[in-house]
Amino acid sequence: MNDKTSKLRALIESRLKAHQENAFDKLYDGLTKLQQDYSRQKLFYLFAISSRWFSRETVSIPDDVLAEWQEIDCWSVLINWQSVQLARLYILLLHSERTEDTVFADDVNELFKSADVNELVLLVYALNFFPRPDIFVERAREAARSNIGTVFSAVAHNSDYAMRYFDDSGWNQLVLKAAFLAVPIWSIVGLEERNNAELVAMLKHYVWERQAASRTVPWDIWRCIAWQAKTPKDFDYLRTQFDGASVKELAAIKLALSENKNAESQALADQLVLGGSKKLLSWPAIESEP
Amino acid sequence: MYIDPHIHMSARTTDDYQNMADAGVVAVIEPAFWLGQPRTSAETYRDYLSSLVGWERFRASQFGIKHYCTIGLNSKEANNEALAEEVMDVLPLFLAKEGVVAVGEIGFDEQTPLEEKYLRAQIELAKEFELPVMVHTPHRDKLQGTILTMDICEEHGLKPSQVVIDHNNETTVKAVLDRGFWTAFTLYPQTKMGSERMVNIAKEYGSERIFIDSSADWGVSDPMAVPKTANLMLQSGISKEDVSLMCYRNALDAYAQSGQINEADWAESNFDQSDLFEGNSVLRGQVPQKNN
Repeated sequence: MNDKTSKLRALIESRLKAHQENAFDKLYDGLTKLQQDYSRQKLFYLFAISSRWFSRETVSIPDDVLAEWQEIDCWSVLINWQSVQLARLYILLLHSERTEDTVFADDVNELFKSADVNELVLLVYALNFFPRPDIFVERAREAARSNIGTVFSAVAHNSDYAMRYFDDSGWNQLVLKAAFLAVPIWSIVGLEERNNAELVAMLKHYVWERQAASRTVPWDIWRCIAWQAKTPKDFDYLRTQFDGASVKELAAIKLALSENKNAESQALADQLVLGGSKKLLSWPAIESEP
Repeated sequence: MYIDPHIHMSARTTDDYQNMADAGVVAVIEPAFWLGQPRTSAETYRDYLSSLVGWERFRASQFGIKHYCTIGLNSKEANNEALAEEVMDVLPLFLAKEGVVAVGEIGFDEQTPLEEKYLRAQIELAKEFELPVMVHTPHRDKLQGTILTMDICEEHGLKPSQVVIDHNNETTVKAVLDRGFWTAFTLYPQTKMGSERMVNIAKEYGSERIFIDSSADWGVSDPMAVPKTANLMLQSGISKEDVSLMCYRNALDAYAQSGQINEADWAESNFDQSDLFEGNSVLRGQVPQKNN
């Protein structure tokens, strides 16, 4: 048994009981019967039918247990979930505690095949809380190939799953896909830790392709590129971008160069003047710029 | 505001979504059906059902249109018993999902014993999952098939108010309305109903329990049939209230019995329902051409 899994399951149980006691009792009864006479059909039924029993309201977390939640839910995603999604996560966590890893993996893989959009987001995000997150890398890779923004974000944002379990090829494709989907790159968890020369080469190629077609590039694509700048050629490349770049792009290049420990990079960051100011904006501040 | 309560969007393009959104279509219901040719495995059937609650829902949301579906084994494919048996095992997985507003479209095609067997079995599923039923009435021997379907629904204890009888025409409308079933008409330019004929029916029978749909699919069909017919109805002197009932409210009332479709779904938000990550703040530019 995994401590994180059982601890989170207990936290959710206490919140669901307090929030929707009748629905929780019904679910618990169903899960008890399932344990006595297991069938995959019954498990899947409980997973889907939860949306009829539980509300779409957010479950409020009392102050005295907030710290415990945040210890497990570092990005405060679960505490913003609707109770129906927490109920589904509860089902999965309890099932993982009661079942062999291989059976659990089979069941989760089957759930993925018939999932609706909300369930898919839940399943992808939940991978991090399972006792063996590492056995679901292929499911997470599929999510990272999804064109459905919310599904993609469930693996890219507010979760360190990809950072921990994707190989370089999977990681690089994730970042490139974020550019294609026009979802934020700068806030992908692990962007700094997993940045690499091959990814930067791919992103530069993407920039070239977009610019050749007179199209814009995501402003935060420069974060990965400027972090990796080392050689005079790298800095020349960035200098050539100053002319056509938008204010947001320039702010991103300046900030990323300043975050690069290389001395020439720091100097170039300092030279960049934006709107008469040398001040650095934070990544969230650049995101919220018009 | 319009609802197209029967349209196979998987077979349509994004231009269709855009035009429908521009014309005021706020929600669509996509019934599970065949693909123009029979499926040969339950796995491909499942992938199809999965796309109705997954990818297609997302596609619609990009244009500010709410997408719902009905889940069922259609009558044509009910004639492949081996396939049908496997599909029946998969249906409960999908019937419990959010946004599934009925069991459908089910009913008769050739009116074979196998079609009847799976119609009855699926009516029982509808009762188990507390969902309304959407009935596809046959193209051949239509009136008899329609009456038989209504008889079977009542025999299984369904109330007429829980059943939508679709693809009606001049020959079936009276029989269906008189028995208290929801009476839907498909505006299908060449084979089913035309807009002018629909105007005449509306003038003769009024708007109670009547609604219209496009049933647009991969055949010659018109995804704009609901807004176009609504305009023709208004030009023909039918009142705004009646047009609104036939092109919006009645379909909503019929399928709202599922608890899975609600006016607030599009009144309060015109984006996808998956607001799980603090609104859509993580989504930056993925809305292609939504105008509202």
